[in-house]
Amino acid sequence: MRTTQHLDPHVELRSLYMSLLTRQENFDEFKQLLSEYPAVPSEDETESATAAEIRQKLKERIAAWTGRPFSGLSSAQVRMWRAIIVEERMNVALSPWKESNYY
Amino acid sequence: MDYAKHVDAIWSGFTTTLPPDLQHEARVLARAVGLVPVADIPWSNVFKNEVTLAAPAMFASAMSLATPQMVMMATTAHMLAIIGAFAMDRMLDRQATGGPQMQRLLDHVRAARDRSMCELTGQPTSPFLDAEYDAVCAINTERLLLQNGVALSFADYSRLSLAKQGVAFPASVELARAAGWSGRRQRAVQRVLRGIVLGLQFQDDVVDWEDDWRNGGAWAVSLCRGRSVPEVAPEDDEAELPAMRRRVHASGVLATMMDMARLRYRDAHRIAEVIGAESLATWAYEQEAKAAELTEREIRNAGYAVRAHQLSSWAMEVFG
Repeated sequence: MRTTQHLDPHVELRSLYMSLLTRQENFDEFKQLLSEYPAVPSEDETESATAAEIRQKLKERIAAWTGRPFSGLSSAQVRMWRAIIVEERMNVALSPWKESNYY
Repeated sequence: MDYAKHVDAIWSGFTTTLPPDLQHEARVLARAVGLVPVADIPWSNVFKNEVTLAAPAMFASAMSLATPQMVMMATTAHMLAIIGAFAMDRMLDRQATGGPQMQRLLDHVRAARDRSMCELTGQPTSPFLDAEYDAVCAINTERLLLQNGVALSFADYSRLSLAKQGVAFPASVELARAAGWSGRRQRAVQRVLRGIVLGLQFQDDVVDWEDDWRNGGAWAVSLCRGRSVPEVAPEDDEAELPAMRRRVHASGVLATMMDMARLRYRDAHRIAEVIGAESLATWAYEQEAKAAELTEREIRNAGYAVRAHQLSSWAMEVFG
């Protein structure tokens, strides 16, 4: 008997995306947790205990919002998401500014 | 026609007419007015749609008597008018600071715009002069009203938004006249453009309302007050934005504004189809469908369009 559920990262992310789009409080909490995560890694590249706690909490909250298990995020992923959502840094190659330039 | 290449070639041709000390300013203009985060992005890659800069060229496909030279003059005038209007709008909003070099560059932009327009019409004066004046007046009026959080109606919103967009019309309408189109068809060109610019404007005012409010005023807030929605006091130490957000969401104005965008795109799509401007009709139809979907989602989940906009870069990154 299988005791672990297979987690499809794309389905997980799609569920997260929908929960953020449809609920303001989830979006606010998501952004808040990302903002609490350190923007840059420590000098020895290890994750502090506080940062690990925030990452774990993020995983648990995402699972609660989506109503399905969430396999979690790496430290680098959380930092990248933080850069995009909190610091509003862009991947220039994707031209995301085109989404916002209306006349 | 490859509209992207067309607009980039026009800008490139324009920059060769500039004094050497303005060449750098021209290269970084889109970044300087906050449209892109880095320099050297070609104008064709600044906006998500081609119609913003290449409207006359897109109408021209339906005008059998429009010569390539007419199309070039009209598109040059239109493109420079729009770029100049964006720069002016951002400076009036204080989103961009125009130093003396930028002012000089914009003088060159206006002069080239008017030269192209006068060549097209054969008239001594350019209609852009009046259009630009009216737009500046409208932008200033809007700023005062929104900064003071004045309660406004949706009719006020439509009128003032249209007045701000005056420079979007002359080049395409004059191209239609030069190509022998009747007054009725010229008015149809104007109505297509009106639908497009208002659709884009209303949609932008929805997705950017929180930033606009932080920067001095937002239509969503004034329209919400116009609907007499009771004020919501911030809870204890709650910041002002969350309280205002709850009020705006409860009022339903964002869904109404998005639906107004849908209706304007629908006008543009239908009239463009009638006059045979196929690429514009197709584009406006696609925007109408997107706005319809966003309206429905906004009705079900207030703030949906704003969050979708704020998550767009993240979504692009994670979903590819």
